[in-house]
Amino acid sequence: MTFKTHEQIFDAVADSSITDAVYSRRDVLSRSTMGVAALALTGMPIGLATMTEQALGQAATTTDVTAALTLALRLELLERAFYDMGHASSLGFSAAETDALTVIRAHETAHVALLSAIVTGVTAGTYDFTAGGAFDPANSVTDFFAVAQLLEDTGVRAYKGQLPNLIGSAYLTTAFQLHSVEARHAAEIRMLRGFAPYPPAPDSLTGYADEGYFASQAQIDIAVAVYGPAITINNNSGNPTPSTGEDNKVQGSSYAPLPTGVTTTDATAFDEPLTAAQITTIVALFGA
Amino acid sequence: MAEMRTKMVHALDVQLRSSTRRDFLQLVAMGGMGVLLPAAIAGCSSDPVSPTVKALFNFGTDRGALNLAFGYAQFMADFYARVTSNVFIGMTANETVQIATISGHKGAQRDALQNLITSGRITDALLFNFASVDFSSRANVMGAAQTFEDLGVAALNGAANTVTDATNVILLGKVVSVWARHAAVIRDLNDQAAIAANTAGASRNSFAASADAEGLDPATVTSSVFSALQPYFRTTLTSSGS
Repeated sequence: MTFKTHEQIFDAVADSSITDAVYSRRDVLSRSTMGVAALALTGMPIGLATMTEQALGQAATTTDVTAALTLALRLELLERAFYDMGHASSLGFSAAETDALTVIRAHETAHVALLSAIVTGVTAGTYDFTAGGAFDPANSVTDFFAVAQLLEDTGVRAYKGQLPNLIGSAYLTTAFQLHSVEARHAAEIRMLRGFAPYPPAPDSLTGYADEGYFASQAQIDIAVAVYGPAITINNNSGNPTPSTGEDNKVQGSSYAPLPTGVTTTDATAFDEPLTAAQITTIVALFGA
Repeated sequence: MAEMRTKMVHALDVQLRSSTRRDFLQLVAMGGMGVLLPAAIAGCSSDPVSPTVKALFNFGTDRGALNLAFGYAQFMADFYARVTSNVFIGMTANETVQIATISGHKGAQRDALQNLITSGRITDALLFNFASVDFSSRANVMGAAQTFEDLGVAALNGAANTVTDATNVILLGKVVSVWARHAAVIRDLNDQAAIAANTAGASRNSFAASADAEGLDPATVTSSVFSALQPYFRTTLTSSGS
C-alpha cells in the first residue's frame, strides 16, 4: 500500500474543481490593498450593497472589522515570533516535530503578511514566552510544545470570537480560512504531544496535570485562562448549564437560542469562542 | 468489458480524486475483475432512487449554511458509522481511537444541528451512495476520509458569507474548527501510515497542506461542493439564494 505525498495530494486537489474557491489569492490581495481605503472612504463594511435587509441590522461596523483584524494580527505576530524563536533555538526537535513546525511557522509568517497589508498600528513586541516563568520553551521541547498548544488553541478561540464582528465584510471569509488553518495547527501540535487533538474537558482542576498536559500549577493557571476554569466542568450531569469554557455542552442558534439551547453529549464536538477582552488577557500573559 | 473498466476507473478517479487513484489502479492490476465486479455492478446500475428525492439548501437566510453543516454532518456520521462497522484491514489502535472519536463528534453535531434548525430544515434522512468506497481497504477509506474532511471545511468556509446572525456565525465556527481538527487528524494518520510503510519522503507534515501560500484554507462555493459530493448521494443536492 502506498500513500502519495501531501504535495501530490495537494496538487491534485488544487487542480480539481473541488477547490474551486470563490476567494482566490488574487482576490485576497486585491482586498488587502483596497480594503482599508474602501473602509475609510465609505465608512461602510465592504459588500454592504449585496447584503440583505436582515443583514443590515447586524452588519459589522468599520471599527468592528478593524478591531477584529488588529486583534488577529496581534496574536499572529506573537505566534510567528514564538516559532521564530524555536527555529533559531538549539532545541532537540525530532524530524517529525521539525517538519510540522516548519509548516506552522511558514503559515504564521504568511498570516502576519496578509493581515499587515490590511491593518496597521500593531508591531511585534518583546515577548515573554515563559508566561511569567511558568514555561521554559527556549530550553525544553516539552514546554515548547505546551506553549505552542496554548497559542494555537487561543488562535482558534480568538478567530471564532471575532467572526460576528466581520459579518457583512469580505474579511469574514478570510477569517474563516485563517481560523480553520489554526485549528489544523492546534490538532497537530496536540498529536505530536501525544494528546487528544481537541481541547480537553478535564473532570477537575488537577485533571490538566493528571493527564500530563501541564506540569505545574503555574502552567495550569495559564491553561485555565485559555480553556476556561476547570472548576466549571460540571457538565457531565444530565442537565448541563452553558459555560464559556471549552467544557461547554449547550449550543444555540438564532432559531433555537440559548439558554433553551441544545445540549450535546460531548463537549469536544464543538469548539468555543473567546471574547476580545479574554484574548487580550491571554496574550498579555506572554507580554504581547 | 474494457469499456466498463475504463468507465469505472474514470468514475472512481472523479469520486475519490487522485489521492487513491494509484491504489485503485494497483487493485485493478492485482485483483482483476473479481475485485472490481461489485463496484462495477453498483456503478453501472441505474439509480434506483426516484429523481424527486431532493434536498434544497436555500442560502437566502442563515438556514442555508446551517443546513449545509447539518447535511454534511449527516453524511460524515453515516460514512464513519460504516468505517467503524467495517474495520479496514490493518487498522491500528490509534486509528481505531481517533476514528471512533471523530465518528462520535459527527453524530453529536448532526443531532445538535437537527435540534438547532427548528424550521426550514432539510430532510433528516439524506440518502447516500458509498458503493465506490471499498471499506476493507485502508487506502480507499482513508483517502476518501481525507477528501471528505477537507471538503467539509472548505464548504463551511465558503458558505460563511451567507450568514448574517452573530449566534449563527459562531455556531458555524464552532463546528468548522472541529472539522478542521478532524481533517488534520486524518491527514496525520495517513502520514503516520506512510512512515510506517517506509514510504520515501513520508513525514508528518501534511496536516495543513490544504492551505495555500498565504496560509489560507480553501473556501469553496456550494455549487462546486455539491458537484463533488453528488456521486456519494442518492438524494439530489440543490441550492438557491447564494
